[in-house]
Amino acid sequence: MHRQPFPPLKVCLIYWSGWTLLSLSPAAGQSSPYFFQSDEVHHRALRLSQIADTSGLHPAERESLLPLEWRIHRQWYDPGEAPTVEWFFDGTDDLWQPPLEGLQWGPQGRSYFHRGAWHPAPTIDADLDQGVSPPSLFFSTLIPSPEERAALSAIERSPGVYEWAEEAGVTHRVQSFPPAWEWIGPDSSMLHWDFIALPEGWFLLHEERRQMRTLSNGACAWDWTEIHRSLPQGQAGTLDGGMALLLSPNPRREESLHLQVALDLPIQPALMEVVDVHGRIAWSSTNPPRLPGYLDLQIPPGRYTLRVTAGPYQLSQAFVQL
Amino acid sequence: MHPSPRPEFSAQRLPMILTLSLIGIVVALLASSAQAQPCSWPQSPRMEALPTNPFSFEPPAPSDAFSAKTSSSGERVFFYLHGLGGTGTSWNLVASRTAYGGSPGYPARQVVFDMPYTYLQNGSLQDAALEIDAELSTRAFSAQLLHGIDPEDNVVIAHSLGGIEALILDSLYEDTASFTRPFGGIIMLGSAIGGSDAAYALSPWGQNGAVQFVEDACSILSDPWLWMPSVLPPLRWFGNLDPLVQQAIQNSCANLSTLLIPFALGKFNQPLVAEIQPSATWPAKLSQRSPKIPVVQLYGVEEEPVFWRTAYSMYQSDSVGLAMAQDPFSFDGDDYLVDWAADQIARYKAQSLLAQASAQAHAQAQSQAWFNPVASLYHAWQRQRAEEQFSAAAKAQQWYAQANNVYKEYIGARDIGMTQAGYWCRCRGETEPPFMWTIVAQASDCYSNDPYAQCHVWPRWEVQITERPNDGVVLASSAGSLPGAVAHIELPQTNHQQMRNSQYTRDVFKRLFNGQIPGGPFFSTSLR
Repeated sequence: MHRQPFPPLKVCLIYWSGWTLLSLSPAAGQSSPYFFQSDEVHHRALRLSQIADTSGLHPAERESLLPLEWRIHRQWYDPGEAPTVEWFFDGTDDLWQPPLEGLQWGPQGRSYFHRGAWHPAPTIDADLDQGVSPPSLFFSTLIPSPEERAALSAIERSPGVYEWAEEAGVTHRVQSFPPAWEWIGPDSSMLHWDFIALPEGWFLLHEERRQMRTLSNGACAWDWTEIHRSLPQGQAGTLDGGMALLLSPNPRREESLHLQVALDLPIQPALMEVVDVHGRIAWSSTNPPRLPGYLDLQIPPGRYTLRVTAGPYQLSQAFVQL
Repeated sequence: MHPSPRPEFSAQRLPMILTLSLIGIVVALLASSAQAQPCSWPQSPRMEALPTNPFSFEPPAPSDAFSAKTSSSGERVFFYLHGLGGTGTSWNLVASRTAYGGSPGYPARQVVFDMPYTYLQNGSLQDAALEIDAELSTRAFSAQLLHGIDPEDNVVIAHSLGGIEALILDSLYEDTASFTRPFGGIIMLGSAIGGSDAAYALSPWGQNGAVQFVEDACSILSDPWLWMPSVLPPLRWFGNLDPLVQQAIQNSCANLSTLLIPFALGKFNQPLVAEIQPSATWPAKLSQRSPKIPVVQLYGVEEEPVFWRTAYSMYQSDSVGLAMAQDPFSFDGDDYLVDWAADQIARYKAQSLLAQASAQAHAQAQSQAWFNPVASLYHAWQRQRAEEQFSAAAKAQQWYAQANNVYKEYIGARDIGMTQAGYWCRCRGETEPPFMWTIVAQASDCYSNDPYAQCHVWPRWEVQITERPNDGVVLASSAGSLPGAVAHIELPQTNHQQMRNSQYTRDVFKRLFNGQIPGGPFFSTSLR
């Protein structure tokens, strides 16, 4: 009689840890549906450690000293099933570069918007996102509880400041005031997060990261990035009613259409379409105006429906063109 | 049982030993550079780029010194000179169609076909000039014997280095005891009379910038977090890479890089590049001297991004071979790598931001599983991996985004100047944004009694960027400002490699040979 061999210990461990992780999925943390948005400013530059002579640098190093900045309008949706995060870029890069216009991470996976179309995001390692959903807007916990600190073998460095060792020699430090997290690598690299307390939870308001480099002239420098976020605007809990699309004037003649969602939240749709009574698309835009805002349309008289796609929502409103 | 023969040293093992030694040296160097040096923070200056200062080039006024000089009617000889690293094939199609048959919109002229030849470049500029003189003198003499053509009627049409050699010859021909002039006019295209930073900065004889450029790209783009064979472009012209550059690539990133880098300036691997630096003797002399014969200067002004356009034109000649066989002035399209680079920038930017989001998602997940050591460790590990992916993708995006500017610095088309202008003071505020930035005159002005403010001060530097019009290799100011030239003509949207065969070149040649360039009736050449 053939007997099925018992799985090796390594396989058992993988099954066990996988099951444990699934049971701890953080996606369950967001219970009430919400929509929030925040504007981000990203900066990146190579920063010299000392005020040094820059003449001996390679051109690539000299170019990297120039600060880069980009602005992003970021939106978080959670209709209660699966969260979605969207990024829409403001401004342009160099004139010759068709800009990256948007990013999306939701239940359908991750994609980016470039040259007028959505493309699947590069996936080098599909396992990287196992066990996580797109990042939620708010953190529910800032400082581990005493029991959790014991489990983590955390050390209290000073009142309200705890740290413990993580993977690959990285030290994770958390502090209650000012509320912040910090990861310090063995190569003196650093990632620092500043939080702000809001009624919905801890909001990640500011990020700074730096990594050391030695330049060709022997000088020390840091690859440095920083993100500032504006305070989030949005609603939680009563979202479905708030996401109704309002449109005026209706009926419309030549005027611009004023569009907004019921809660008057700033929102950047990914797609806007005008559909006639036969279901034909009379007008569409993959780069529609931000709401609240105005839309100019040149369409023949008739009855139409304006459809707006924003994250997981598709909002629509009928109107008459005179 | 026989003992195994003792291995003997032989010449066959030498390459292996050398290779192992080289690997050992490279590993030792890498290990020493990887040693973390103490690096202070936060003394670093904060740079701010001022609006780019575009340098507008205006050529000098044309000379009318030769407005009365004409050539004899009937046949004449056009001598074609190629540029640095070129061959006879650089010009042969234009030469052939000009002499007989013509091409669309370009009628043939009464010109004796003389196949362009190549000249040695292993010595100095003057060595090459003497070799060219010997060849042209022989050919001019033959044309005089066979066709009765006055050597003074002959014209040199020269690209890049060829134009510099032609002007050197013009200066040598002032020594009439030693030389007899075999031509009476010059049309030069993209010749860096005022010198060129590019050749010296990029070549192994100078700053070795091409190798540095390629090594940077290799070390960044070969990161395993980025590499996906399916997204590599079909850069089949990589077989043309200069062996030296190819070796540099292979040393730095093994088998990946032969596919990866759309760039090589191996053609600059000649010792005479040191003599065409702007500060060298010949450029200083030629750029101040008025030629003794009519000279027309054509200079290219390429659109941005000049690097990607020039790189594409340098190596795509095989794929346009069929079109060029029909029309030698059809070498115009150069958008392929521009589009490809823009796609890479968008792709890597998306990858870096999404990896950043992944890291945040794992940090959040970890914060909800601190009590579970397995889950906590798992998310900490994945967060770290996402951070690595972010870093790799951000570097790749930056390389593609700044490659054009880096290249322009090498060729002298872009300067970055920095001056300190006060200090940035950053203090933590009560409300958003969390940090307030203010400019202060002195570092000591950045001060607050409130420990919560956590004020830091950084020197504030202003960065002034100057950009100059260029053809992707030579600056317009170097190729279009010869004093005493009868005309300085811009070739728009044309890079250094295209300018022998672009539609703009065809139009200028046609006007020149029709005698329509003011001050240049000498170049009027009868239709065949």
